[in-house]
Amino acid sequence: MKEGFRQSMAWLHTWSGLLVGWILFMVFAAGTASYFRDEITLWMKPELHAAAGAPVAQAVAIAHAQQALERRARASPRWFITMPTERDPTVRTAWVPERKKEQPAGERPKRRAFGSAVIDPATGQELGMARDTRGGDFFFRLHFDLHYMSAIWGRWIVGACAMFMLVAILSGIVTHKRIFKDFFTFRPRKGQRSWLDAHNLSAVLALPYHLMITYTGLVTLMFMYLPGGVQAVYQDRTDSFYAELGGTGSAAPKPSGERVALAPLGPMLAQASAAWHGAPVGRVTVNLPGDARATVAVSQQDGHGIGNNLPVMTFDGASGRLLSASGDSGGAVATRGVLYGLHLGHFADPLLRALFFVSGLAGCAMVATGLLMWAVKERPKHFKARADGRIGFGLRLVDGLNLGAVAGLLVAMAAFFWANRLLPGVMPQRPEAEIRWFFIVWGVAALAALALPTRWMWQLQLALGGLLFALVPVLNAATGGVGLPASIGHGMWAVAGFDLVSLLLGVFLLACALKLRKAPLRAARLAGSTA
Amino acid sequence: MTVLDPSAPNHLQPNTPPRLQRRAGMTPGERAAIGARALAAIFGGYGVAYVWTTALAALLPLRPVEAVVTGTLTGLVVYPCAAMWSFAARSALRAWTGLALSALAPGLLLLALHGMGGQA
Repeated sequence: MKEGFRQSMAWLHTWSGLLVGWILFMVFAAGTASYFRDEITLWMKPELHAAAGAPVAQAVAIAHAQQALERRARASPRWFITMPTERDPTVRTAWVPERKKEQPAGERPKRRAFGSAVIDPATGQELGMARDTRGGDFFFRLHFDLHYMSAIWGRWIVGACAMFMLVAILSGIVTHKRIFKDFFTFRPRKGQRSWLDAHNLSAVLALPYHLMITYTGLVTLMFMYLPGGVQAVYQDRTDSFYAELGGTGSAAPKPSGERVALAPLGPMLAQASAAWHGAPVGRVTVNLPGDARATVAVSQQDGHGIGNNLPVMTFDGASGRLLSASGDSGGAVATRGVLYGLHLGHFADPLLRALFFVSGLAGCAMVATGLLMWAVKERPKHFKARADGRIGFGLRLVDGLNLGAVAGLLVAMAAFFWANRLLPGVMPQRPEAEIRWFFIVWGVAALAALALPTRWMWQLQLALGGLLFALVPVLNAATGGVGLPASIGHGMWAVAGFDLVSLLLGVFLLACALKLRKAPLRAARLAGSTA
Repeated sequence: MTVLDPSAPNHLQPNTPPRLQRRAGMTPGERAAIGARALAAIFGGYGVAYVWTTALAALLPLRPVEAVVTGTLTGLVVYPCAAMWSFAARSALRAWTGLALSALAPGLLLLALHGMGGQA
């Protein structure tokens, strides 16, 4: 047993990593992009760029939101208001549509789409003319729900991949003899050795992050993956489990039928904010607005503590009196909140968020180099085994999948941003059209990769992706967004940051493509000579 | 320099143990053994994690919501450990035996609890 432990763990590391690596790369890439979900959404709505100016006081913003909702959704049973943040400067409002009274008995009411409006916090004007897009939410959802399948299936698939990843990380650690030295080891232009160094470097440098993000990712959906505990203790009362978990014990009130004007929301927000030592309000939910039994639930803005369990205060809607405040949660519930919050990273200030983003990129690099290393390692065996120099089906398949999953995905992500700007501003099902372009480009890239998994194809796809990303600032300025000089000049860092990161990523990909061109012979010889 | 140079200082793992070697001439028995280990890791591991989750949630002397969260968080750690054990054990049979043994105590406790619940 003793002599075999490291070896069997290395074997496990290789195979658990390879089998799910292609999906994992997408999960890592889309998840990393999701750190800037709000910024991506803002960038993809160039009509709103101008609103990204000076911050507006919460009292002003909530008054405008209340006016707009009383105008638009007077009879709605519930309103939701999301207050502006530094990262999303607009007030987002949504409401449950009014219930039809002549509902036949016994027939379940059909769920109807929520109404929604985006409001300029400074003026109260509805920003209705922004183009319809999924924005950064697309990548956020993609990284655990996948697409073109039910979200439940997607979550099971991604969860299985994440568990493989956790096994790959843990077995990778126990295989490793010299973690510390690998911080400082990179031997370039040495074929397989360089790939191994790159894999170790990206894995070891950000190891705590990789371990944390994989485990906490599973934690976000753990009651779905391991429902045994909830079922055993709560049986069919899972609702009350989630209510206890979220610290919001109260259910929605029943309507009284008596109309009483809703008290101004501003003072309630001020009271809550004062109780939280000045932390601003994030979300406001109004139950039964305009009814005598109306309640207002006010929750703290994300990002003023690591945990995901946000404090909530509930007010009486008619009088504005405080009804209840969420108490302290127990140790395990708080732990889960922190783990959940760590995964989302909403608590992070810009610098820490950038560090998370870079760690996420390291995760992408770790997965990509791991996948490529399998192929690099396998190739000499094929050269040796076959006199004609042709490679076997398995290696060819891995080569093609690597190319399509890594380079192809990057091209598709860039194409998604281009589709956002090049499709007509108003068209039916615009968000789905953008997403369709993402998958069309990815599909074509993947097919081309499987048909011709060569170095030339790598160069082509990396160059194409690099070009598309590098030209994003030009595209932005040319299609109605605030261009780089102006966005930097006015300190609109959400917009400028998107352009700058795209430019950097594009230049990096172009450099990779160029590097592949420079030393084609030597690398080919090296790969062959290692046999 | 060769690919399988065991003296390479920074080599992830040069020597794959014979029982896990992936070569063209793998016997049906070897294939079956790897398959049995994979099944142990994926389904056996899930089973062990599930039993531990459920038992901790039901038996920990904490507030119900706390016990459930603690049990489920633990289950997520038990699973990858069980998967690693499935490939570290000397044989596929030992892998399965180990998993069964680790699920024995929480499983029995759960059964006992279930029996008491039935009589009550």
